Amino acid sequence: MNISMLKVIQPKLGAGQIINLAPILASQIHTSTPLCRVVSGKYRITKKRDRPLTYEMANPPHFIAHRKSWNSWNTSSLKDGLRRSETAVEDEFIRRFMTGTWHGLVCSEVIIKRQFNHIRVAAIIRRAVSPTKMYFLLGYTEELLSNWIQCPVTLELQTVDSFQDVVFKYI
Amino acid sequence: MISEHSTNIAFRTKRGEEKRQWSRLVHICRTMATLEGQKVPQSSSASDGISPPQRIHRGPTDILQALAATVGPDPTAAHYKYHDDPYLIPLSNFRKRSYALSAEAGRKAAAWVRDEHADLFSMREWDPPGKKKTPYLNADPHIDAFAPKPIYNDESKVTEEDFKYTLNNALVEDAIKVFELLGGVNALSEELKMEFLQLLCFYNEKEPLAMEWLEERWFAAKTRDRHSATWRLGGLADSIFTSMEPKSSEAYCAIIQGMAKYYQAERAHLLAQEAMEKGIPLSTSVFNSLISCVGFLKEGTTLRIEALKTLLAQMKEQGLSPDQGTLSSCLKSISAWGGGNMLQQVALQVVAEFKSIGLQPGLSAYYYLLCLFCKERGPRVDILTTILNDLEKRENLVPQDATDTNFFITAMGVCSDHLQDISLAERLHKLLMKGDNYRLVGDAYKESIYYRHYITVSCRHAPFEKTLELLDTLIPNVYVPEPSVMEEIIKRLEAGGAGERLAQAWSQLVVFGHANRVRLVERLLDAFCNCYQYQDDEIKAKIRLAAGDILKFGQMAEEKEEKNEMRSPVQKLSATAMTNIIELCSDVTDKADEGWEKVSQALDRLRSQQAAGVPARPQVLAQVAQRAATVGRPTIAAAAVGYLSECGFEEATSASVATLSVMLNRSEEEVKTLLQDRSNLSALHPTALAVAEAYHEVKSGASLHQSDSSTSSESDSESSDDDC
Amino acid sequence: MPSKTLSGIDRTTSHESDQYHPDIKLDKNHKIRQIVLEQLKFKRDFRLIVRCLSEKPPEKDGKVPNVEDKNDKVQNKSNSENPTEKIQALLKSIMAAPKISEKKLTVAPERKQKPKVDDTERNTQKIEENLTKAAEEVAQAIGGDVKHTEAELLSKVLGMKVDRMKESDEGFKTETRGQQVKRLVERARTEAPKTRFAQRKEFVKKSLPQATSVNIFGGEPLGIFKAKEENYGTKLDMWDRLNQRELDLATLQPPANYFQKMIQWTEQGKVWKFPINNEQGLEEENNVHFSEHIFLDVHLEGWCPTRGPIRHFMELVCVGLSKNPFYTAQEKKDHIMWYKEYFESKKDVLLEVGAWDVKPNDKEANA
Repeated sequence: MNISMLKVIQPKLGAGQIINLAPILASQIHTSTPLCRVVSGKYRITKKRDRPLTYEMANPPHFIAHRKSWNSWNTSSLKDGLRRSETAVEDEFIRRFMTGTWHGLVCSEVIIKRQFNHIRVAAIIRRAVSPTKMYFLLGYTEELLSNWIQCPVTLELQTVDSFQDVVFKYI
Repeated sequence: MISEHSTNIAFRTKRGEEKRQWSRLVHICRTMATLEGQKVPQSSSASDGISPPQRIHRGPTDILQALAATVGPDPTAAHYKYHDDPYLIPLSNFRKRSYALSAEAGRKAAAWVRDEHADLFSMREWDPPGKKKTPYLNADPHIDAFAPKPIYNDESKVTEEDFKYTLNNALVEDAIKVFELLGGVNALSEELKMEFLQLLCFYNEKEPLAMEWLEERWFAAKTRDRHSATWRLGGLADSIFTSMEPKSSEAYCAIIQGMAKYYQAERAHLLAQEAMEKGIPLSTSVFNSLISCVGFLKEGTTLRIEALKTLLAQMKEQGLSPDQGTLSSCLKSISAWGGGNMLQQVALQVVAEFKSIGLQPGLSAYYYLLCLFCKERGPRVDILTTILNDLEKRENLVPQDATDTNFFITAMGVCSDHLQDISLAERLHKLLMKGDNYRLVGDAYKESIYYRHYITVSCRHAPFEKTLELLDTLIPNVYVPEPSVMEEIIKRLEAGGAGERLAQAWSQLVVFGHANRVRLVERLLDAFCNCYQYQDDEIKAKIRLAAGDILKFGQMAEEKEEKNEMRSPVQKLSATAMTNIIELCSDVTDKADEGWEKVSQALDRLRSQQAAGVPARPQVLAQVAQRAATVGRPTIAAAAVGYLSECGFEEATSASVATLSVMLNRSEEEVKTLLQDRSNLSALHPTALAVAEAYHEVKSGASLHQSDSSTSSESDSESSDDDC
Repeated sequence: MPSKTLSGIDRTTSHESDQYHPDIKLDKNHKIRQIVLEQLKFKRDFRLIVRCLSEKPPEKDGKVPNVEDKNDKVQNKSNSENPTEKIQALLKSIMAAPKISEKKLTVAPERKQKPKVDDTERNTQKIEENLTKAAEEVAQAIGGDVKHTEAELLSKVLGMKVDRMKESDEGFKTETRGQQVKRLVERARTEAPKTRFAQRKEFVKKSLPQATSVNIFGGEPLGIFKAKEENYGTKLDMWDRLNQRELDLATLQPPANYFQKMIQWTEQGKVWKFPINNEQGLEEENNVHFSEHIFLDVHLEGWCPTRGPIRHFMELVCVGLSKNPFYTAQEKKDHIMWYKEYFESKKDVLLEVGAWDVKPNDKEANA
């Protein structure tokens, strides 16, 4: 992002200037979205105060490990942990697969826990479809995911009557 | 090598104290490091008394099995295969089946996607990142279970490897396809041809159930094996066999066993004769299969027994020793020929014969014996005690044959229907629960039959507390009772006078999906009424609630039927059942109690003729009318009396008098005299008037017209109910 | 449906706090009822005795009860009971299986989800027609007062509908209804549901004749076989394997807990084996000694110069390979051999540079 920005700036400046200015530019212009801890991972209060937040959403990131827990549990980010990028990409894949397969049913974050080569996926699901259909989706999701990422995958779902049940507060 | 070490160490230990410690360490390290995987002899115990324990080799699942053995069955939880969530836990047999099967259907769908798009599923993630081979991600170890299954069609290019793969995985149809693609009989080696022939013979060229779809097998309502010749004549197996020249012993064995397995008895025996004449050695299993279909050759018990004995003698001639399979196939044949003393004697002889050469009967042998001795209408014969004595002595029951899974359900059936013996049933159940034996219960179908028998016998013959305990542990998570068993349970609860449990039984009926079965519900209501008066007040209230709920449930079902939501027509509760509900619900003293609403609803239903038949105990209605009048619900009283008179019960007379006397607060004689004069009646309150009219209607056997008017006046009085 | 019914159950179970006030009047009622019940009990017992006496010859109703009934207009109690009982039994069977009369109707191949209203009406009409016909037949078969029995049958089956419809009929119809009700009641009384006591009694009484015990090992041996060394003849490997497979399938059960599921996965090869062995999947290396993985210099003998840059490079390669846990010994050897071939193909250049044929000792000796 920064580099591409530089390229945009380039034509305006002379070649000589660029050499002088480049280090200054790099340190001064920050072109990506600011992700400072004051606002990141926090939800903005609406005027009508009607934005529903789950417990997970209601607690800002600095409460992780205090009031709430991680969404991905694995050892790849430990020292000498393996497969950092792969794990992150897979987790994202699992999350998208879940929300897509259980369309409009997932009411919470998808929690992904890994133990040796077993992945456990937990989520809260709305009771909008019949249990029989849920069992079909369960079997389908488990089998397809485990075939895709080549390890046993288990779903651990809880059901709630409606989305209202997981709303922690409105802001 | 090991002994060298130990002698070395023994030698070293002789030098001084300091050396000793060191040598111990060395010894232990060496035994662990270099001798791993080799058996350490007993003599390794050193002179200083230290003997490292022998290494026990653990398989990959041993630890898991030990852990699994610590997890006992939890009667309060649904089976592990169901999701642990209130919404997703099945509570009826239908749901258990449909949930498990839909989960498996989902798996199948995913497997189909994987196989159809095999090229997309090439990613193998579980790769140590250090090993950068091409392609970069290359799983090690490679997991076969996640690899797409090959699909064979006319275009696929196949090799012998593919053929071996299909053979090893028992994919009959794929094997036939690959066999054709490879170019038929001539393109194959003898060995592969032999294996292929065995596969075809074993499955009779039909695709067996795949190993991975557990639930499908578990819930498959297995059709009974047909005892008729289903062998495919002139099929692929036959043609391969004829093309083999010279025919080996294996070929003969395979084709004979196949034919016998699918009851092509005559040809099997002919081929066996042919082989014996040619001097081709056969096997014990061939004779076993021949024995099990010997009955198809001959008619008549005596001839059949002769044929059986001849076969056994032939087997002896061939120098073959019998095994457990021989015993069970003998008994299978004998039990298939019917019953009778002669066959039973022969069976006992066979058992004794095998016992004398040291062969214990297996579970299937016992199963056939039970079939032979414990006939449904025959005399009661107790062989189960001996069988159980024998089986309880055994360390563990190793399944030998697929028919072994029939033993437990048959034995439990014998306990319940034939012997009616609860102590035997309990012993049998204990045996089933021992160790790993539960797998012998078979599939879902057999399991439920087993428990049906067990609960029935327990309801009929066990002490009440024990039965309750059993019901608590089994229902609903292990077993959901069928209607017949439910009736048995209700009877038992009624006889035991357990009012609270009867009240619970209603909610169980609803949950198990039996609430639409009128007969059961009526039975339950009867039980309510019979037990009601012995119960505590608290439980009485529960029973009332349940009775009221039954009424409500019936109404809901009808509403649904009107909306065409129900598949089958709703049966209506009989008038007797309605009376029972009325009796139960009316047992309240509070005027505002909900029970009275139920009573009036039930009466409405009776009067609008939505209940079949007439009540068996009209006196109950008379009492209810009186009670209603006492409490201050004259409308209900009038309705009850009106109904009685409409039906023409004698009780209507006395009831109307009694009710009126309560209503008008006068003695019965006064009321009677009052009633004599019809002209006075118009001055009465509408409800009282209705009662009086009912009285006259019965007295005079009045016309229907009047009874109609009484209903209309009753509906009028509805509005003026508050006045009185 | 499940949610509704479930809530219904909740209600039945949760209303435990309902107050209950005993009342004096109620107690009175109770007493009255008990007295009545006792009387009833006595009556019933008496009736039972009467019935037992009267029902002694059971062949009678087997033979020709119809004829008798016809003749006996004076309806003796026990006699009148028999045909009614029969009717009741018939009715019960009709009511229990309402399909009997529908048989002709159910032939229709597909069942529509929502049949038209007209259809249902027509159906019910048809059913009623059939029913009336059937009832007529039954009544005729039973004999006696044909019309009477028929009406009884129908009224029982169709509720009280029949009477309502034939409202304008002669007066005796209502009479019949009254009589019928009375008879039904009478019958019901004689067969009144057993009280708890009676049931208990029955429960205790239910003892069957003692079963004859047979010792299954007590037979006389046939005397064909003698114990000797075992010989099971030709062995069919594939057959035995398939047999085992079917046996496994027959005794296979869905896993009952997490550990069993892990066992299943392990057997399918889906999870790592326990105890964790970081050499899983390297089974082919099990029999290779570790020294073959670590001391790779031997593979340099014979082709690699003993000193110089290439020797230095190759030694580094060996050190690197010796630390690689992922290659098999053979792969490591192949790796080194690849370099051998590479260098040999570049031999000319290397010779020119003097990196290949470095033989210092020789050179020194030569010089």
